[in-house]
Amino acid sequence: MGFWNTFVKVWQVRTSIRIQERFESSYHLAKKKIETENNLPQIINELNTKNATWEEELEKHRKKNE
Amino acid sequence: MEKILSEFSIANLDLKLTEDKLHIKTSSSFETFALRSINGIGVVDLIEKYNADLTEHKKKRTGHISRIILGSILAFLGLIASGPEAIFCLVLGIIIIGISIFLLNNLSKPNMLSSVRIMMIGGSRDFEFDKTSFGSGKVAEFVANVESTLSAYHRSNN
Repeated sequence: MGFWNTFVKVWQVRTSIRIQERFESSYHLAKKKIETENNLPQIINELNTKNATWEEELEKHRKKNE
Repeated sequence: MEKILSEFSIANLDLKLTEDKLHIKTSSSFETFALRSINGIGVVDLIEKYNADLTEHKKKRTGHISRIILGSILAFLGLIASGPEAIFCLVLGIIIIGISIFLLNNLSKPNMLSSVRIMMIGGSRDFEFDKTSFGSGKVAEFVANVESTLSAYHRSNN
């Protein structure tokens, strides 16, 4: 195989790998986005539950230190 | 002898604030920070980690439910068929259902943790805790104390 043929074949393989990686990366990003969107109500609920009393406690102690 | 301004201990986290230093002890580390090197203190919720745990929890739950359905189908086939294979299917289906229900009931719900973030020149350090655990009120008190001590410290040293 000559230099030019080798060069073309290597370029083809590298390009196809790059394209495949881009597809996989897009797929994983889209999947992660959908999972996050599905989890949003639970995340917001958990945040509200956790921070309900926390904020009050922190403000209470901040006012005490003023 | 250093004057201790505030200190407390909750699960895996011991914090002590003196006039010049902040001592933090966890189950795997013991660190001391000079107040002059601390730029700020904050509390952040570990949402990314909770999101990942929640996704993992949902995948496991889906897996268990799928196995319960599979076990139910096998048990049903075992009931309607005849012969020794039918008994095998029925027993296998019941075992699969039993194990999957047991694992599903023992699947723990993910819990969102928070961390106390100490911001220093050159980076920051995080120390995890649970906002709804017993003693989290003391963490809030401690953070408020460090906030007021920091501002007083930097004011008096400028």
